[in-house]
Amino acid sequence: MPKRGGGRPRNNWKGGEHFEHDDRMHNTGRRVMFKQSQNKGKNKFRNWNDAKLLFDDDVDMGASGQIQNRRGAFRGRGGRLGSPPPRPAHRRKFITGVLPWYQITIPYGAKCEKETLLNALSSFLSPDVFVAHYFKMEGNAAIFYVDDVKMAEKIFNADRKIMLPNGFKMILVVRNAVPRINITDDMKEKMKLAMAKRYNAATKALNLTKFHVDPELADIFCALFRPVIMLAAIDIIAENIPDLEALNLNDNKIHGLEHLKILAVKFKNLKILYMGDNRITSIAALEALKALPLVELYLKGNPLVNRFNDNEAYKSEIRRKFPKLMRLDDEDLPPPISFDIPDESTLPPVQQSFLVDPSGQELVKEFLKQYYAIYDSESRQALLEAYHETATFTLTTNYLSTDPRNTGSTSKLNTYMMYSRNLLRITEREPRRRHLKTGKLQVVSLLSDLPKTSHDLMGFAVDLVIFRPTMLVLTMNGVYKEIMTAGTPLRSFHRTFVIVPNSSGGFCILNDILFVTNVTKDQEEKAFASTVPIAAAPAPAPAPVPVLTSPLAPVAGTSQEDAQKNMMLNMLSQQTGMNEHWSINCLQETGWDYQRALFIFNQLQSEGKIPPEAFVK
Amino acid sequence: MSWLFNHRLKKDYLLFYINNKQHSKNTTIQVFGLNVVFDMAADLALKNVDNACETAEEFTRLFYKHLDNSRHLTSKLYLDAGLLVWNGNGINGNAKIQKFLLDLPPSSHYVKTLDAQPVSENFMPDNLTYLIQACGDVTYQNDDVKKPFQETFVIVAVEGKWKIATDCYRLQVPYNCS
Repeated sequence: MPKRGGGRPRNNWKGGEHFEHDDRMHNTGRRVMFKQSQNKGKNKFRNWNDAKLLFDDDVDMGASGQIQNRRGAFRGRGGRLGSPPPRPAHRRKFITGVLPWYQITIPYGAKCEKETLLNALSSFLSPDVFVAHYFKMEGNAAIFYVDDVKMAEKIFNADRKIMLPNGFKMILVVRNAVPRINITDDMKEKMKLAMAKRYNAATKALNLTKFHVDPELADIFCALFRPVIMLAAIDIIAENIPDLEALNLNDNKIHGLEHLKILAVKFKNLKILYMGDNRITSIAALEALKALPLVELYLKGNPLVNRFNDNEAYKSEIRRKFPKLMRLDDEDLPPPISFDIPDESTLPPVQQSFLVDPSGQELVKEFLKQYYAIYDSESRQALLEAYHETATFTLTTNYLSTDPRNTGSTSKLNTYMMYSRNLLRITEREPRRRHLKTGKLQVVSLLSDLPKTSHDLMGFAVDLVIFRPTMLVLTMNGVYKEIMTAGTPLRSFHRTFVIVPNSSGGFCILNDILFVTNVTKDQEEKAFASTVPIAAAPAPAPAPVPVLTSPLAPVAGTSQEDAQKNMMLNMLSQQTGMNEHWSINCLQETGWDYQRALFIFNQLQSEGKIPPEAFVK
Repeated sequence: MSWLFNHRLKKDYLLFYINNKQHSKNTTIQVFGLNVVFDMAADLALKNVDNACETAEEFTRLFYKHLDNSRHLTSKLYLDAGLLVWNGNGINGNAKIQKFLLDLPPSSHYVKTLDAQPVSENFMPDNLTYLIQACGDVTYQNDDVKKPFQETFVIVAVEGKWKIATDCYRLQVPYNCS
């Protein structure tokens, strides 16, 4: 049986070859050959390129014996060398293919006019009528397609029975094949025109019955049973009629449905689907359509319907797939007895931000702007001003379980893992206490150890849940980029601040609780998609709200280094209780390495080596 | 349904805490004849940290159990004037929260990380207040797709019961306007 599709050479009728071999017009007797003698071995010259071999062993070449010499029509059974093999007519058999399309090739057909060929064929087949699709001359051969298995068989049986005006018998090679197709813009335009005529805007219904015979599409092969074409058609429909409610695909020779899954994605309102007179063979194939909210379905004329002896069983099987179905094959279904549970609800839409009090907006915006300007800068030391004396900070982190992309090196969360205070893992009190950073120095010290970042401020979801004169509670969700880490990975975070007023009329953070994880695929795609960052929106004029006690940004005029030394000095003095003089000494001796200064202080202090006057202010 | 401190220990601790927080000054006690400065405030703060963690464990266990299995009872966990912010949708008050939660598709939450901090009593003098953060995966029955979620609660102790003052729930999705 001929195989579907190409691939094996013997399935490719190469029309062009007829140029070489069509020597019927000038019979010159023996030909000069550079090949070996043609009579060595029975099967020596068997050549699979010969289209005649496609069907059955005993079909011979129609014209004359000469061609056999080269093309190897010998099949090794029966015939003597050099003579045509016997032709037992009863062995010729037409084989029904998988596809409903048949390619008819008339070798040497180009010697005659298209009309001559088709007229000769149709008068032979009369009263049966056939439609020759996509007729074309290819080399010396005429090729066309029929989409009817019965006609294909009749044409097959007409092989060599029709005398052409030029005195030769018409050879008809029939094989199961579909016209090859490239979807071009031109073709899409034609499909669109054809669809426009078939669309009923009032009922939002599109009728694509027997689409390939549409006059608009006469010269192209546009059969919807081919997935590529169907998908192209669906794209066109989705673009032009996204709210389609009814679709008629009757009589399109559709067999596979797998690719029709996309219907449910593209057409949320598609309620009526006609798929009659197609070639759907099993109920299981309908699985692809299951997600459609169908109330009416038409399947008559598909093999799957005949598989059921019992019509009731058929109905109930279909209904199991489409529970909302009211009508099947033009018959009303009895209303199903259902449970009195409301339809499954959907999730409410996501809002970017919630403010318990709109008047808090400016304050929150300003606070976050200032906070993240420092957080995303070279050094996070200046955040000391943003935290309360007794501030607490904790960090938890975890990998996404919903994303298989956890494996790459950029998705490793090791830097966070060592600080992670996941209470589900850390169950002892002591380590739980230890992982809670208390006091602004501890907090900022940990924050300084975290990777350098750049936050997507425009992508922040901010929820202000408490807004009172004495307290604000603020939760942020968003993504940031680790700018100094190899591969600049994106992270997703969820963070809550409890913010309280400080003594100098500004605000500071009392509690800071942070969760870090990897980004989902969606987040990765949308990250930093907004072009205007918050900070750049209004000119960063002097802050209208005195959010933090002192200007957080490095003060212009003083050098960066001085500012840093000053800060370290303040920090050390605050943390150790030593006066300025001793703090300076300590820092100078350790080369202004804050951590080391603190370490040495602790060591000396524990050994009792620091004199009391160091603490006199 | 709300819950009491079933633990005798916790109940004692809570009373101890409330009685002592007004005069939490350094106390000198004698241990084996030595004077030891006992920093009452620091000790209390640490115990409060322990308690926050343990309360968070119990709270989230009960909260998600109710949310997934007996949602009609979940709103009792909120203060009468509690606030739920669900993916940016603010729902004020116990009654509305109940209705909102009931309208959501059935869910199944799986908590993977939990964290908690006490909110300093200097700023919440009337009620013991904890900040609780739970993160994990959720599946809603409408689409049956597992999604990461993150949720932060502020819970307060009112008349011996923990109540949710605010609850901020977020699915991990992109929030850019564009």
